[in-house]
Amino acid sequence: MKISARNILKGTVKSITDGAINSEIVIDVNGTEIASQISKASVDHLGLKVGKPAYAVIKIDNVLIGVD
Amino acid sequence: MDDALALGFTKAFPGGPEISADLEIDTRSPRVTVLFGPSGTGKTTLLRIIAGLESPTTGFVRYRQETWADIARGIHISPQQRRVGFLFQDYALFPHLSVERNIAYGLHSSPRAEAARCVQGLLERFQLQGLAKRYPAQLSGGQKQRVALARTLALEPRVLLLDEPLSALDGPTREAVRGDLSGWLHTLGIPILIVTHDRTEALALGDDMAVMDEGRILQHGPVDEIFRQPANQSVAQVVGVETVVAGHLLEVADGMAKVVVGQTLLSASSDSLPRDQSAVFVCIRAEDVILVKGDEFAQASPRNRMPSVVKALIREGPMFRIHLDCGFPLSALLTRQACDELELKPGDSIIAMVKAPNVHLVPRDVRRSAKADSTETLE
Repeated sequence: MKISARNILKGTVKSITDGAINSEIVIDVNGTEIASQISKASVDHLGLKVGKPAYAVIKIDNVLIGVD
Repeated sequence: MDDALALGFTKAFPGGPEISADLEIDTRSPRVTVLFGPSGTGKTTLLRIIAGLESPTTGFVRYRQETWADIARGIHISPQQRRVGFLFQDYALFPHLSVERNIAYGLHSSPRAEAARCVQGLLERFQLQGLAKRYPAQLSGGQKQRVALARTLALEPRVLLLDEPLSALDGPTREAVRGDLSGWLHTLGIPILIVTHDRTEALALGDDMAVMDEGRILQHGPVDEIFRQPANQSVAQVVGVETVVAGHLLEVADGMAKVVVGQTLLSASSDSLPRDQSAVFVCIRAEDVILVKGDEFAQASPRNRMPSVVKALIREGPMFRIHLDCGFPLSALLTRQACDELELKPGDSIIAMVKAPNVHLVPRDVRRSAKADSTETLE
């Protein structure tokens, strides 16, 4: 994948919850849920639907790390 | 420069860092200069030394042909003789005096009729007519600021200094007052220095910016130039945003703004943007830019997908700063591994993607800068 972001996770769209302007998209990546907020226009543009394959793309500076 | 407010001093504190100022501000074409930098870096001390409220340890302060302070020559002119207006962070209104008496406070040596005329003029100018008999405790934060500004201007200062003028206001009030304050300041016709550590305030209020860090002035120049061409990495870190370009707002609908920069159309979040403001600064952090090569990632959620050309790659520790031309200069910050995988080199064509909420719009006062449209060179 020729993209500068270091984390590219393939999964399927588990849920789409529309807000006034944005939608919350949950992507299931091998049992781990990744939540994202994108504009409703982007949801339409990408034709996102529950069950559709999609990638979650995360830049390294947006990843927080915690331990138990 | 004969017509400058010239600063060339140091100020030492026992056990603390030394503050060093070397700055000339042209007083012939009055502009608003923002002293910008993190808290505790000496910005307020610099203002207080200009005002005469503190003395430098070494060096001088000059205003045109007058020497206001010169340690080697034993000169220290009083604040009153300097005729400098100082707007304190908390406004420092007299709580036991009404609005009109606060404004008139410094006019005790003027003939009564003349003082009354001056106060009336300032009440009108700052839309305080209905509040003249009220006391500070009965005023909102924005009204207190207007009274403080009116009181400062009653003495017809030759230079106006404002220390964090919006910090005493809550968030929504601050946004409303910021636009008004910018308008008033640019009608005064005197040089103005404003201390702030808030980037939005700096952009909204300033024509020029002096970036301070650890007691030193690192760079001085037009605001947009500082953001566009920080002199070094320290300045880039202090200003904290790499791309600031002038743009024009086309429309706001459903919480999203459409803004044009040169020929490039961008989507942005319209949070906190006044509806009647069409001239804006468009701000994009380098960390928020994602680069895509080829069409393998043709469909993605970011609203802004800008065909760009790589102009330069600059190593910064483990990261690379990529200078792009996407119709305007744009910076991206990538890891070395990402650069390697993309095989980036100058001249490459690439897509720069930015999510709309990461495109920040700041109102831009076009009245103040003939440069506003010279930012067409930016655009």
